[in-house]
Amino acid sequence: MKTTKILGIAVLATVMASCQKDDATIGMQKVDVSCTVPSELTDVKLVKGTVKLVNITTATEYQTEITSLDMSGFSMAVPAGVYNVTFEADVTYAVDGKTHEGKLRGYQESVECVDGNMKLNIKTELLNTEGGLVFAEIFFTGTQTPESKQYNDDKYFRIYNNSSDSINVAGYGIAESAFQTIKKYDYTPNIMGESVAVQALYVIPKDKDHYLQPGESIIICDKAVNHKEANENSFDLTGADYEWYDESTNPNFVDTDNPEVPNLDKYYCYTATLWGPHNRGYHSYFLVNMNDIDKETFLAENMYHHEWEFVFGDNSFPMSDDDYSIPNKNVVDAVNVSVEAEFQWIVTDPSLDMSWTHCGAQDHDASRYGHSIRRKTLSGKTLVDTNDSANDFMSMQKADPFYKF
Amino acid sequence: MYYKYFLFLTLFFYTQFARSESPSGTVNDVTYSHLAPKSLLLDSIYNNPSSRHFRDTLSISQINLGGLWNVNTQRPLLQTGTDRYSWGINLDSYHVWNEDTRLWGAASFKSYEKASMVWNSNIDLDKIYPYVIADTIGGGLKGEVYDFEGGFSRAFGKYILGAQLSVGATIAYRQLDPRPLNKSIDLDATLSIGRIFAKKHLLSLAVNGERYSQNSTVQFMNELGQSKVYHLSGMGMHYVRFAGSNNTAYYYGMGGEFSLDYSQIDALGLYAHAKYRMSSLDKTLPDRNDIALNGLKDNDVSVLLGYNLQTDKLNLLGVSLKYERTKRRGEERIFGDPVGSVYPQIATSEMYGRNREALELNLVVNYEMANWRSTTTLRPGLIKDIESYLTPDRQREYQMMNLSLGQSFLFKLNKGLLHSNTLLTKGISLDREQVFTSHNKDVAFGLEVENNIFNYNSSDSFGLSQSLRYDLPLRSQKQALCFGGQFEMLNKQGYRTYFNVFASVGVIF
Repeated sequence: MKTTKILGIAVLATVMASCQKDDATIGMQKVDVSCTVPSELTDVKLVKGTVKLVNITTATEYQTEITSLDMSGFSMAVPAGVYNVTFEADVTYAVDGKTHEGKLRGYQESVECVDGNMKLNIKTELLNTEGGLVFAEIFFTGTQTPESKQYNDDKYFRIYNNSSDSINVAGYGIAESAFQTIKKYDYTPNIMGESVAVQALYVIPKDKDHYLQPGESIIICDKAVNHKEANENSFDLTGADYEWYDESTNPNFVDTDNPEVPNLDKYYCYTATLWGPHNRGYHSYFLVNMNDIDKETFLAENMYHHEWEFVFGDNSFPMSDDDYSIPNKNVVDAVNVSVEAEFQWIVTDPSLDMSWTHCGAQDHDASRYGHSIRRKTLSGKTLVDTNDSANDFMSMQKADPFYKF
Repeated sequence: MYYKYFLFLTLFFYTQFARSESPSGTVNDVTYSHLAPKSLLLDSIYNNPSSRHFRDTLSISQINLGGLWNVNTQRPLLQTGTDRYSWGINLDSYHVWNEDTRLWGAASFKSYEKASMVWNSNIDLDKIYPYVIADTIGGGLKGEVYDFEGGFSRAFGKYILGAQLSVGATIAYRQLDPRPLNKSIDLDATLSIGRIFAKKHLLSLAVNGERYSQNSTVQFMNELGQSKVYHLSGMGMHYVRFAGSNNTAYYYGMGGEFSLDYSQIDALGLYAHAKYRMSSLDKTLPDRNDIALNGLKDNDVSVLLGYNLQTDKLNLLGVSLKYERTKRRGEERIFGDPVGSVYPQIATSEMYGRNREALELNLVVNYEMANWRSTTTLRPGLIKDIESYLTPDRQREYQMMNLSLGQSFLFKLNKGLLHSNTLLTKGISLDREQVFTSHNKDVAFGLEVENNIFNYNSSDSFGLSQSLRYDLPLRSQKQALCFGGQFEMLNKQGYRTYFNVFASVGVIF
């Protein structure tokens, strides 16, 4: 009897010890969202709008419609996490007494919702969808020879007139971001709200007009030669409109110049040898209008000195560098490019480009060779341009400099 | 793997050592006694080293070499794939060293090949689920498993002290892209103390500690690119942020267990077993500065109550009731924006949960005749399994009734022993429901495997297995050769029936 009692007590104690709290709980976070409308707009009225939070860990989306732009009392409940927040609203606004329709958009990246109530104000911009020059295709990966050797000389940018007017492309240029989308640092000073930091800038010579009609495009390439002679997997780029040419300081690495094809005016490049877009897609690219500033003034006034902490394991080291900045108002088109598995941040203000595109899923992904990013077609000769590269571009397209849109 | 050499050395020394021992009685008597149903019913109790002191009154050892072949390769459960073949050798031994001391040990090696594993590149799925590394291509997996166990018990008057140590190691790999390579080690130690009351009642307490680790990596040799590698977080969710080329993961877990057992030293009358186990496991990504991506916490309870009644004619009537509850909680760690390559952890969310309960009644009727024994077993059982993901709300739940009917015969023939075991199983689905709320862009992600898990676990089933074994004593009557074969089939509703064939040859001494 004594044994039975001891056994009973022991069994009961064991079972009770195991009966811990059963319900799993997760901290739902209340996020109060408001927006700031551009101050230059007056009499702004909401037609319809949404706030979308995307959990960057799980890709889970939480979307709610808004009923007014003052958004008083508007809040969303989401699980604890890190979110990319997008605000989009169709609105009407008045300019010079006339009512216009437009779209407001705001974007905030990596918002941490983990610690109780959160107040989030999203700065919005009027989305410019009236066309203009855009990147139609960027081929930054290069090709492979039949012997599977890397071939880097055939990279190109295709620039397209996406408007209904002819545009003189003289004075427009291409630039590569100084920052990488696959490594995020806290750069000081942070100028991203006003400018883009660039490490290479080449501009179409201003001394000769070159008009592009609606739906027409130009090709800017590294070497305007028939690459098929060296690599049958490549293309004939002798018909390119411009090439960028570098005077190399290293005789082992010299550029090839096709005298028949005009060279871009090299404003600045970080390298003293040859420049080419990063062939895995670490950097972003900008189409810029440099007509309001001459080269000397730009170089004299737009130096960007920045500092950051380089972190490696448990150690960190202070770093600094000098590049150039181009005001956001001069950026006609921006495309954030990354490696799908390595992306960490966009290196532009979201008003220029709120997302990113890529070629290749992983770093060193060999399947990226011969592939480019190409803009989608909206209708007819109009290409998609919503300043949202993930939406506007198709990744991993077979590169074709003469692709018919 | 050095374990292989260790295994062979263990076998060699053990057979030399065992040969010097002279178990009393013929090998047939020893086997007959070892397979007594009253002892088989107390298997859970005998996991406690102090209780195991009374498992056998005669020493017995056995070496077996056996193999399994899958007759038709298919993949009923995607994440585990199908056994294509396996073969192995194992040694199992129990020694009555002297009146007060018992020693036991086991060593085994198994080589296997699985086919058609998808959405899982790991091994030991039960231990790490749902936080597996996955890809959508999958393939076969070859592996080697090494297990060693040693224990002893010693009586000091009314007290029985016991200890047991076991170590298991597995290596598994694939030689085709994607190429997983998994290595795991499981170390398990138990200490126990038992007290005998009124000469025959034994109450034993055991404390167990476990340490587990698994190193997993997925490699690609194809120069034209590689498929994406995912880190699943359960119920069709995954870490989108770390999908792609984070191909290495390290799992590390610790666990502890308390068990309390009551039995009578002759294995008759009332017996009871209660166990509480808790463990935790972390998954880290070495490629991302060792961030701890996930954590698992397990909380398990098991209770068994039984009674063995012996009569003259009806040799044994056994009845037991077993209840098991396993509870698993999965945590996802939330990381802020990286600085360089360092991701700061900013929060933890408990997202995954699983509660599983099982109740099983076991009825055994055993007849002992002059030259044969008949054991009939009936086991009705209920299972309730609930798995959930907190947000987006996802849940699956099923209840099953399982019924098994077994009939065993053990014949004493002129020279040897003939064993025959027949088992019929039937699984009946009582209730099943799966609700998947999706807020993902990639709606279809993982649904294939999630539907497969749900359908496979909750569908009706019918199984049949038949085994035969013949023990042929050698001239000395101290050793016997044993030859065995087994056939098994399982049919799950909605899946192809699969058939396995086993064959083994061994020595009992």
